[in-house]
Amino acid sequence: MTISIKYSYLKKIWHDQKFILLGLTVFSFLFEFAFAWLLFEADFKSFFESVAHMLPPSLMNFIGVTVGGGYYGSQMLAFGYSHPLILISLFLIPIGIPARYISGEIEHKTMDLLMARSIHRNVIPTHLFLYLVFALSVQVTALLAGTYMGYLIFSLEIDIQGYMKVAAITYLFFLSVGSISLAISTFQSERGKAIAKSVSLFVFLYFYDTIIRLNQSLEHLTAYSYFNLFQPGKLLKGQVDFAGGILILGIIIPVFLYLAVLRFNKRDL
Amino acid sequence: MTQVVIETKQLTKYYGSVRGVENLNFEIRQGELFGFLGPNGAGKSTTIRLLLNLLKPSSGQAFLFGKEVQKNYHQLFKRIGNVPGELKLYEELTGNQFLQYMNSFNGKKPLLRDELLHAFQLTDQDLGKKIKQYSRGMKQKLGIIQAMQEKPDLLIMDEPSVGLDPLNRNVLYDYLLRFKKDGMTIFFSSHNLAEVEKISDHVGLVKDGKFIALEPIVELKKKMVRRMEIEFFDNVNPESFNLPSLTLVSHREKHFVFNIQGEIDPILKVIAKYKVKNLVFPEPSLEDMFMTFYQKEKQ
Repeated sequence: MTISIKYSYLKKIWHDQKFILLGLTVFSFLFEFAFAWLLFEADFKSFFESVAHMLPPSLMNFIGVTVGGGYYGSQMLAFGYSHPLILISLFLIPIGIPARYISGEIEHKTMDLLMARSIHRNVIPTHLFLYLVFALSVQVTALLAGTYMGYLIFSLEIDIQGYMKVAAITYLFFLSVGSISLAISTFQSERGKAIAKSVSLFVFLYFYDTIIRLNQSLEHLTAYSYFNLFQPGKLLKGQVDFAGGILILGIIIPVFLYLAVLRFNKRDL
Repeated sequence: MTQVVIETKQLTKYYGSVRGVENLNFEIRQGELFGFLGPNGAGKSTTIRLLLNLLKPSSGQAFLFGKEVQKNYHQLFKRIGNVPGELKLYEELTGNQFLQYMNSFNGKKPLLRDELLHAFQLTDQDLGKKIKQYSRGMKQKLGIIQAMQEKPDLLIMDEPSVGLDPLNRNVLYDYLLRFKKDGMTIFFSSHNLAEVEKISDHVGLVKDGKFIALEPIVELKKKMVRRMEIEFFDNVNPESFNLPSLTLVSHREKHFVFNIQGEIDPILKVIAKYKVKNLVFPEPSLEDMFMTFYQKEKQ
């Protein structure tokens, strides 16, 4: 595989994306900080606790929180990492970037200009992946910084090392989302279709995970759920295998990146 | 003997079951200005996209500077400038940023950038604007400049004059003729027969994905059928024009219309025997040539 870093290509992506990344970073930081602040304000905490007591245990199991446990507050804080708003914000970059810079450039014909320059085809998927590595590290660091700031300001009794594990899994999980989306985009020639197919896949996997988590008779299938790799609450309780998760994500990421590179090298543009 | 810059061997591209081009074999040598003509869907853009590795051939091979394109494209493209058909630029960049971005990949100095910007009348103010604010013609000029700015060894252009006004079209032609003199090889496709006739020295006519003619333009002109209209002062016997290179198309009293193929000297000698009132013998156009070859194909 030939890869020589093309800084101008990365610079162009940065030029296009800097405000989006900045916005998502600020949102991620503020969201986690606000989550910490809300949960550790005594009134809010007791309110959430009373609401949580009324919810079915299967739903609490789904969001990864055990009511009444010693780790209750910490788990609720971890739920901030898998809150729908944060999930959406974390999905934006790994799905949007490959769709825009592969399928979108093919659709809008700018790829004709770019690929007639002295650039190896490997450069496009690998550099997009490099950008994802960078952008997700910024966004996940912002999430962790939000929690850490809450920890410092509100003197939270939380296991900050546990949160570092949560951040590591969050980072690798969304990097795997990026890797899969990258592979999907190399099969598409229209940005909209690439986004639609990636979103459909992850929504399907999310609902699959939701169904098996809400239904106890299907619990044995959780090991085969992609979203089982991303369980911040359970990770804090030590109910999921951290090293195993890292290993599986460590396999998914390069496999789909390789598929993307292979496919982009062989396809018509 | 000059170097072969572009060569294809049995180059074929199918889109599923639809033929793009089939068994294309041709060579273009250094310093040639090759005009590639054909109607829509004939396979011009497909051929160009195969040469630029944007499409993978179904079979056959394409070579640039003696090296196979598919294996060596990223090295070869350092020597190439390209103006794509249906030119689309990065709308969010300014003209300046775009030229710098396109130049950044080849590691060559943009020796001709300033000169070209001046010739095509793109000002500093224009270059400071985002491309989305540009008119169609300005975008085309910018696309041409990015291809030429490094003075490449080979220019590949898919209908480069589309969207240019006559003044800028002439600027483009002047540069192409100058580059040719300097030894640059130029391969361009066009719908505009007059422009190919004006600047090319070799022409390829493509139809349904195959070449129907591939020759120096001078040779092609000799082969083509030309029309001549003559009006005499007196009645003339049509039998007088019984020559192998002449076909009588129509005859009404003193007015004759002929098709001529080949030498015109014997015909002029026959005409000179009579008093001519009017003679119309237009310059051969590639339009006529195109029709000639298409009709031959049909037959």
